[in-house]
This record gives sequence, C-alpha cells and structure tokens, in this order.
Amino acid sequence: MHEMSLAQSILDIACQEAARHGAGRIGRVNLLVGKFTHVAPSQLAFCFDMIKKGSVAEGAELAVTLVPLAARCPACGREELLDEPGFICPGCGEQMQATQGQELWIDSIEVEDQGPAGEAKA
Amino acid sequence: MSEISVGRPVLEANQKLAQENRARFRRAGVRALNLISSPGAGKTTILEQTLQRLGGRLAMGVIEGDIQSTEDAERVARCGAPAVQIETRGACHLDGAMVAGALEGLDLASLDLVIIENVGNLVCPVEFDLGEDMKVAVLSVTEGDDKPAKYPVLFKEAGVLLITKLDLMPYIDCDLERIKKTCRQLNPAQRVFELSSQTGQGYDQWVDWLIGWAQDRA
Repeated sequence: MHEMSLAQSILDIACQEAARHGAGRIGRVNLLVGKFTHVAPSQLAFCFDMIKKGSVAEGAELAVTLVPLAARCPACGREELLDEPGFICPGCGEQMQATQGQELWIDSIEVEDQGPAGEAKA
Repeated sequence: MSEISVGRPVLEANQKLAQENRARFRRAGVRALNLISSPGAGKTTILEQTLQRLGGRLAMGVIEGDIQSTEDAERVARCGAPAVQIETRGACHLDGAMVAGALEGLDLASLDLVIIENVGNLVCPVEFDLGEDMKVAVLSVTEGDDKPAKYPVLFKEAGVLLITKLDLMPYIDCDLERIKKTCRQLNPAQRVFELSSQTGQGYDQWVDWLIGWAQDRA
C-alpha cells in the first residue's frame, strides 16, 4: 500500500503550486501514470480523497491519464508500443529502451483564479 | 478555473533524498545494492552466506529493512558485518529518508559495499529509489516460475537476479527456463546467479562477481 505516500506527495505538490501561483481552490489534479509502474489509480484516488480534507484541494478530483508502455531500439531505431513488457527488439534483437510508460508525474492543476489573500494570479 | 502546468514527478522529494544518499556513497567510495524480493525468499540468508564467503576480501555493511523486529540485523551482525536495522512500523517499503537515517549508523569510510535489504515485497519497493547503484532481485524457486511475468517492473529494473533454493528443485514444479526466459525479455543485460544456501551452489560465482563489481568504481 504505497499509494498513501504517493497521495500525500501529490497533495503536497498540488498545494505548493497553487500557493506559488496565488491561486484559490484546486478543482482538479491531472496526473500522468505509466502503465509500467505499480500504481493503482483507484487506490490512489481513494487515498487522495481521504487526506485532501481541510486543504485547498478539498474539492479536487484526481484525474489519472494512463500512459502506454513504449520502447525504442537504440541499434535500429525501431519503435514499438508494448502491450506486454518485453524489451528485446523484434527487428534486430538488441535491447530496447523504454521511452514512455514509467511516468508518475503531476502534469497540471486546475484552480480558481483568486487566492485566499485575493492576490492576482502570477 | 484556469490550468497551471506543473510537470513535477510525484516522487521528487524521495528522489532528492536518494540522490543525496547516492552522493554520500560516492564520496566515500562505497557501492550500494538494493536487495528486493518477496518475504521469505532468502535475502537475509544470502547476506549471511555471502559474508561468510567474502572472508574479508570486501568490507561490507548492511542496512536491514523490516516492518518490525531487529532479528535480521542481529543475524547479519553475527557474521561480523556492521548492520543497522530500520523498522518501518507499517510501511511496505524503504525510502530515501529512512536510508539517510540508517547511514548515520554506518562508518562508510571503512566500507567498500553496502547492501540494503528492503522490506519483503515485490511491488512497493520498486518505486522508491534509495540511492543505490543497482537493484538486485531475489526469487526463490518455491514462489513459482510465473513471478517475473506477474511483477515485471522489479525484474526489469534489477541488474542482477539471484534465483534461490535451487536444492528444492527435485520436489517442486518450477520451470527454471521460464523464469530466465521472461527475465531475458524484460532485461537482456541482467546477470543471473542460481544459488542454494544449503549446498553452496552458485555462491563462488556470485561472490566473485560481487567483489569485481564493488571494486569497479569507475
């Protein structure tokens, strides 16, 4: 159950960014999660909902976009979208490098324009 | 509503601490391994057997991670290695901060190698960088030959795979070739050692490799 520590990091970063931009309440946190990670989006959302109360993200929805696994062969340049993880190039047999699918990123947050102190958005 | 672009990794705070650990290892000329497996695969036994066979050829320290109990650090200390126990009190994985704390209890200047034994778990520890140079996966043959396919992230990330309890092969239905084939697909560059702590099988090769790797600090 490492989703709780991930949810706490997401909340911390989202609240920091909202404060840094002088923004008001957070309505949505847009998260990118690679398919080649051990992160369960529904558990993550459950944990996020538990800990967001009392913060500027209290009303925020955690929106997860799953990123498919893809790899590129450094030898022959072949690129593949992978349904099953396998990193041997079907073209030349060299080891492919993952190019996407291992993300765990906060892409953006959607916020009300006015902060609690009423300052303009940076 | 307006959208603010963030572009920050969720685990950036852990990443920063892990990088500090990594720099600390590097300054001291110490190499570090992160040993990951399910509970009961034989991680601590491997450490005991490895220490006995090193015979002082390498100065090795150990950081032990468990949810509770100091038993593992005591076992390793009995083999003559400096050992620090982390009790996570519920957490299913070690993180950069816990390892930074444990490093306070190790004299890195006197060591060549630190092996960090993670909490027994094939899932969560993979996501948390500790500052190690390499992850080592341990898989016992009794767990079944389907595990690399079911937990591919660890078996891709691990630079070395230690397959353990080989002496039990006559009694169980485990296809060793399937394990190795799946792991080759995930990470063709992975080094594989087949071990038995009961018979000593494979230990000479593993320990020779470990000494060579630890001394190669280029």
